[in-house]
Amino acid sequence: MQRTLIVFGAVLAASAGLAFAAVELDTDLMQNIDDTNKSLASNIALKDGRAAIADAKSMNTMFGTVETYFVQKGDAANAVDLTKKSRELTLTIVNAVTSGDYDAATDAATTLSRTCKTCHTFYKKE
Amino acid sequence: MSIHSRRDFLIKSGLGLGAGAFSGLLPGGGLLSAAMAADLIDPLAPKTPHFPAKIKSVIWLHQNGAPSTLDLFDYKPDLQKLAGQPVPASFLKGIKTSTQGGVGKLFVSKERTWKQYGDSGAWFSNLLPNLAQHADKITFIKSSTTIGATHDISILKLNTGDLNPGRPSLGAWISYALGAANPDLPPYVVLYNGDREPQAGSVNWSSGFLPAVYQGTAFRPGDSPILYLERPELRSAEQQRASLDLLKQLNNLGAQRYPNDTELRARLRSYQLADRMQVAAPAAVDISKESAATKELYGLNDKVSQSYGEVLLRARRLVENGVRFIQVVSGYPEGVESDRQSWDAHSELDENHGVMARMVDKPIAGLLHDLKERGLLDTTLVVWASEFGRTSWGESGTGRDHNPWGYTQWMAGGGLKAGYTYGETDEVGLQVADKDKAVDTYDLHATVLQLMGLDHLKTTFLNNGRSERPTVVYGKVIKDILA
Repeated sequence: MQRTLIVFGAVLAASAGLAFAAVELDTDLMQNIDDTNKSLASNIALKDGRAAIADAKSMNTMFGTVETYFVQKGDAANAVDLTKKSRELTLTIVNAVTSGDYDAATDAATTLSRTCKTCHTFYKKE
Repeated sequence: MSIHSRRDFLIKSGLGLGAGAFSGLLPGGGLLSAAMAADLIDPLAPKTPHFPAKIKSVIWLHQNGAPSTLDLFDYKPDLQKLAGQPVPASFLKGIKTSTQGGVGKLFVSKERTWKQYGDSGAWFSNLLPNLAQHADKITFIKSSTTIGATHDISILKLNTGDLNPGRPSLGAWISYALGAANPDLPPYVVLYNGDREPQAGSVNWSSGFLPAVYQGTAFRPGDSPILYLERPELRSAEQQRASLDLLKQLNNLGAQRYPNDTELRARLRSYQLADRMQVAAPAAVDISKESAATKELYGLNDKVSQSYGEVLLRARRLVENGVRFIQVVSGYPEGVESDRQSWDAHSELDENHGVMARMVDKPIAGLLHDLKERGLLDTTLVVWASEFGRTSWGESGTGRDHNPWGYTQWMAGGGLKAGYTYGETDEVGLQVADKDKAVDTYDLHATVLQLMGLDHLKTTFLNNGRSERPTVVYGKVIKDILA
C-alpha cells in the first residue's frame, strides 16, 4: 500500500510539474506583441534607436514563449517556423538599428508584421 | 457627415486648417521650425513628393457590395467542370469558412460565357463587353486578399487600412502629403451615384487622426454638389461680396493685433477657399457642355448606366481640374427595383450582376477611352477595388457568399505594366494560389502612394507620440506591376 502511494505521489508530482511547465498563449501576450510591434514601427520611423532596440528585444522574448507553446502543442510545424522567423527578424532589426540602417530595420519590421499576419491566418482563434 | 452643407464645410475646413496649423507637422514627421510656420497657415499648399510621381490623380472606383470577380475576370475551367459538387477539402485548407451561408456546392451561372481580349489575352465574361475592349490598358491583380468581415468593416479596411474607425483614408493621406494642386478645389473628392449617400458612410473618407482639412469632400449627384454652397437667391452677388469683404477686413484687423494666431489666419483662408469653391466646384462638375458623343461614351443614353456614367464624367473633369484623389462609390441605377442596391449578390446573382455590370461597364470603358484620348491616362490611375470577392460555392442556390481569400482587383494608368496580370487564385478561384504573391489592402495602398511619388514608409504623422503611416505596420509596393 505504502509503495502504491509513493508511486501515485511520484506520478502526481511529475504531472503537476509538467502542467507547471506548459506554456499558455493568452490574449494578453498576443496583445502585448501587437502593441509592441506598433511601438517598434513607430520608434524605427522616429529613429529612436534605444526604444526600437528595447521593443525588438522584448518581442524576441515574447516570440520565444510563442515558439515554446507551438513546439509543446505539436502538429504546428508551420507556426514554429513562422515564430522562429519572427525571432530572427527581431535580431535583424536590432542589428540594423545598431548600425544606423533604419531603412533595413523598417523593411525587416514590415516583414515581421506580415509574418504575424500569415500565422494568424492559420492559427488565430476567432 | 450625412448632410453636406456649406456650414459643415466651413466649420470642418476651419477646424482642419486650424488643427493643421496647430499641429506643426508635415509628411515625414518631425516638428517644424518657427521659420516655416508661414507654410502651415495653408495646410493645403502643394508639397514636394519623395520622388518624381508617375501620376497626378487617382480615380478610386469602389465597387460597393463586392462583385463576384469569378463572374467578371477570373475564368476557371475547373470550376465549370466541378460545378454542383461539394468543394474538395484540399481547396478549403487554411481558411476559416465562417461566412453566414456556410460552404455550399461549387457554383457557376448557366448564363456566363467567357472570351479572351486584346494582345494580352485577358479573360472577360459576357457581363463586361465594353470594358473587355480595354484589356490591354489594364493591370490585373488576381491575388487580392483581405480580412473578411461585414461589408462596413471590410470597406473601412479597403479605404483606411484598419477594421476600426479612426485612421485616415488613403485619399486623406495623399491630400496631407501632397496638398492641393488646384487652390480652388479640395484635393480629395468623393462621388457616388444613386439616391443616397454610400451605406458605410463618411468614415470611409475621413481624415482620422490627420487634421480635418484633409478629409474627402463628398459631392452629391445633381447640379448642386454641395448643399447650400450656392448663394441664396434673395442675396445679390454684390451683397455677398460686400459682406465677405467686411468679414475679411475685420478678421485682418484681428490678425494684425495677434500676428502669432495661425488658427485665425487658417480660418481666413478657409473662408476664402469656400468663396472660390462656390464658383469652382459647380463648374468642375458641370457636364452640360460635354458633347453628345462624350455623354454616349459614358453610357448616359442608357437609364441603367446613366447615373454612374455622369459620376465618372465628373471624375474625369475633376482630374482635369487637378483634384488628386477622386473616390467613386458605386450605387444603384435609378428606377430599377431591387432589394439589394449594390453588388452584394447572396442570391439571384445573375439578375443582380446583370444590372450592376450594365451600370458600370460602359461608363468605366468610356472613362478609360476618354482619359487615353485626352492624354490623361498616363498621369491618372484608375483603380477598381472592392471590400472582398465572392465564393466559388453557391449560396441560396443562385448567389455567392463573401470571399476575402482570393479575388481580383485591377488598376489602369500611369506607371504600370498595361495588359498584365499579377498573381492568380487556385483552380476553383477560392484562395490566392501563391501566398507570396498575395496582395492585401496595404500593398495596394503602398503601390498607389508609390505612383503618386510617395514612399509609404516615409509618409508619416505623429499621433499621440506615435509615428503613424498609411500602411499601418504592413504594406509592400507590388514592384512586379510597375512599368
